[in-house]
Formats: sequence, structure tokens, C-alpha cells
Amino acid sequence: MERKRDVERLFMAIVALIWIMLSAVLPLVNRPDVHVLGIPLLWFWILLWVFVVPVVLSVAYYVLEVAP
Amino acid sequence: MEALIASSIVMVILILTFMIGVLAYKLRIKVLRVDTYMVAGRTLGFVVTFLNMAAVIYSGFAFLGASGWAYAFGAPVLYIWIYGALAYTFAFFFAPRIWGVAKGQGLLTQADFFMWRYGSKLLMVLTALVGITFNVPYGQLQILTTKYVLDLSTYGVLPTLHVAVLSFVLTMVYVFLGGMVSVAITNVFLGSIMLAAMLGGGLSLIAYYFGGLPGLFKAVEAVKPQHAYLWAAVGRNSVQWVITAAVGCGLGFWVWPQLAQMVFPAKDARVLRRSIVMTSWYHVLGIIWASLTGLVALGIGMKLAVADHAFLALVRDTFGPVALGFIGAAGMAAALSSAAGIILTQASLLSRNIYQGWLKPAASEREVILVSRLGIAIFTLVSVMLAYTAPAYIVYLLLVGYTGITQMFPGWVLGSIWKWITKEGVLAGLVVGLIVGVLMCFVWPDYLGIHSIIWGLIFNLPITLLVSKLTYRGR
Repeated sequence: MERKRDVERLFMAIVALIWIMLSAVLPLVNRPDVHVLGIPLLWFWILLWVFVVPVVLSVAYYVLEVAP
Repeated sequence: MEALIASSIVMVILILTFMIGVLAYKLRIKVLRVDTYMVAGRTLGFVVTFLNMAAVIYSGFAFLGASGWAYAFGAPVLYIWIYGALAYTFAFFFAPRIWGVAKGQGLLTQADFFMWRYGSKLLMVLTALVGITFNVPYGQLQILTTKYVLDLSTYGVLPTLHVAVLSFVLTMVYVFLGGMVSVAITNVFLGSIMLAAMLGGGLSLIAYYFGGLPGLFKAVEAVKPQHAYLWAAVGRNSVQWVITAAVGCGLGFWVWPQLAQMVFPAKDARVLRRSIVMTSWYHVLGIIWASLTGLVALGIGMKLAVADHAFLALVRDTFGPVALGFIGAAGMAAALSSAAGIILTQASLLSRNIYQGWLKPAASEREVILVSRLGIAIFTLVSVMLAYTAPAYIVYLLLVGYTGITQMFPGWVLGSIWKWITKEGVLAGLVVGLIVGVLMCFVWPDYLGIHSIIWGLIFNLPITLLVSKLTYRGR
């Protein structure tokens, strides 16, 4: 039970990081002159982190609900 | 001929939806109780919970408004991508908690939670009224979206507003009969069509015209370079607007009473959590690709009188009437599935919290269901009347609703976590947050480029916390 709570806190911390990457960091990546893989940096950055969300949640679900 | 093909596909999907809704009522409901009508007796498994949630969440706005925004404004559309993602991370932890409370205490609506948690009829009635009122433009929005879909998919042959209203009324017939059971089972069908259309339509249009995302952005930057980034100091093209809109909507997402009511029917917390994970996949596989079609329209130089037509106009001009019929049906499915959830929730708040909770506590189960059904008829009528008399720009309606609903965040979320949040604190914060939020919508729209949701919360949160600290007596 204690381990599950610790793991849940770990995922909460990861989620907090995602919130920061998708909000507070935006002024830094709003650069029309920079492109990554042919995509403007702002769009690339948000696309990347938005795709990270279901991956992280899937892993969290597996670790918290399936693996124990 | 093209109009006939496309409209026939749309109409077939509409009739199928209606039949599924009515059959679900006939076959799945043996004894109609209040909890069956409002939360399907808390019996829904993973697939139904997931697709029901997705179909209610992704409305006509997600389908057509998002691509319209991408076409008209470019980068500000990113707030939609962000807030969905933020909302699912939040729900992963929050939703199972609130489900556990609802199951344990027999809660059927969000306002039930306020009654149970704070023991205040005033708060229950106020939150029910907020939930009902701010959902009114959302109901109207779904009719207008259906009209937009029909405008394109019938090639202007039919009186589209009348047909949209007819579709809406047909949907409300099965909601009236079967409540949540009919809504959920129908939404499995509608949610599947929507995902196929958003992902298939979006990807194929990008691949067809540009071969991939780099080609798309190259074309967009050649036509409108400012669409690639946020260029303004204030207003919706500014960084602070996108951040505050995304964070505000991310926080407000699960405060919508219809989403609470989509959480409650899950049969256990694990099913619910799995459904939320899958809905986060639905988000990245659906709305992102649907919204990018607005950029495709821009990149190929398409001139549109109505920006929200971007997705369907592209499909019509690129793939012809069969694809248009299918994508149009999916757009209509998105609108009607959300409308079903919204109207059922409004009716539940009316019957369970205003009628039974306040006006007539001794009301029988039969009476509550009767008032729910009456509510469905009333809210359907209100939405239809508004659709005829006050059509407005799609996204603006959504944002007004969001600002109001999100002011329930402290009472709904913080109150479920911290014992020391009091009814006095929640009431004071809610009233002030609503006043500030509405002023920032209509008098000083998004002042300093900060979204009105956040303005409301800036006043609401400290007041809730401060008044709660002052009034908490260690209960």
C-alpha cells in the first residue's frame, strides 16, 4: 500500500512536469525562426508533450493497477 | 446527385443512432429507477464508459470549431490540444476519488456532491443552477454545429436549420426514454464513428496535399507566417492568452456537470481509470488531426466564408460525396452525442437537486423521473429557440460557458481533498468568481490577454481559502 502511494506520488510529479512543459515553458519555445523536423518549434514542442501524456498515463495505469 | 449521396449517409447514421437509442431503452431497462435513468445504475464497463465519455467530451466544437480556429487564427488553436492533455492527467488522479465518494454516498449528480460535502441546500441549488445555465449555450452550440454539417453535406439543398433541429429532437426522444442507458450505448456507436472520421479524415488530407507535417507547415508559413507562432502582445494570439486559456480550461474540464455524470456510471474505479487513459489516446488520435485540417485548408489557399466549414469543405472538394457523407455524419454524431449528455445532465440537476432536493423532498422515484423527462423537453425547447433566435460564433459560446462552470472548481475539487474547505468559503468564492468571470467575458474581454476563467479564479480561489480558514470549526 505504501509502495503504491509512493508510485502514485512519482506519477503526480511527472504530471506536474508535463503541466509546466505545456504552460510555463511556452514563452521560451514561441520562436518562429526555429524549426524541428520541419515543424515550427512551438507546434513541435506541444505535439511532443501532448503525445507524452497518454504514454505516461498508460504506464501509470499499468504500474498502479495491473502490475501490483 | 452528390447532395443525395452525402445527405443519405448522414440521414442513415442519424436513423441508426435513433434506433440504437430506443432499442437500448427497450432491451436494457427492466425497471426504470432514478439511478438507472441518471447514471445507468453504475454498471458500465470499460468500452462503454470510455466511448461514452469521449463522445460527450468531443462535441461539435472539437470537430468543426477547432479546425475553424486553426484556419482563422493558427497557433492559438494549440490551447485546445493542451487543455485536453492537462485535463486527462488531472482526471487520472481525481476521477477515481470522486467516483468512490459518489458510489459510497449514492450521489447521482455533481450538485449531490455539494449537498453531501457541505450540507447546504443553498449551495446545492446554486451549483445546480450554474450547471444548468452555463450549459444552455452548449446545447445551442450542438444544433448550430449540426446545421454547419448539413450546410456542407447537403450542398445547400435542404433547409438545414430545420433539419438540424429535427435531428436534435430525435436525439432527445431516446434520451427522454432511456436516460443514461440510451445515451451511453448510443455513444459507443457515435464515439467510434467520430474517432475514425477525425483520425482518418485528418491524416488522409495532410498526406494527400502535403505528404506530412513538414510540408503542411511549409505551405502554411508561405501563406500566413504569423499562423506558425503566437505573435501578439495581448489578445488570443498572445502567449499569455494561450497559457491561461489552456490552464483554465484544463482545470475546468472535469468541473462540467455532464462530465461528472459520465464518471459516475463506471462500474468500478479501475474501469474508470482505464477509460480515462484511453480517452487521452482518443484526444491525441482525434482532435489534433481534425484541427490540423484547418491548416490544410489554409495551406492550399482555400477561401472560406465560414472558418468552421474548413474540415468538411476540404473533404467535399478532395474526396467527394461518400467521404463527405461519412465525415459529415461523424460531425453530427459529435454534436448530438454531446447534446444528449448535456440535456440529460441539465434535466437530472433540475429533477434531483432543484425539485427533489429543494422544492419537494418527499418526491417519489416516479415523480423524479417524470420531472427529469419534463426537463429534457424544456431544455430541448430552450436550445431550439436559441438556435433560431440567437446564433453566435461557435468558440465564443464555449468560452463563456467554461468561465462560469470553472468557478465551481474550488468547491468540487479542493472540497473533495481538504476537509477544511467550508460552505461559506465555497459560496463566497463562487459568487465573486462568477461576477468577475462574467465581467471579464463581456465588459473587459480577457483583460490584459488573460483568459476570463483565470480572472475569475484569481478572485475565487483566495476568497474560498481565506473564508474557509476563517469559518472552519474543525467539523
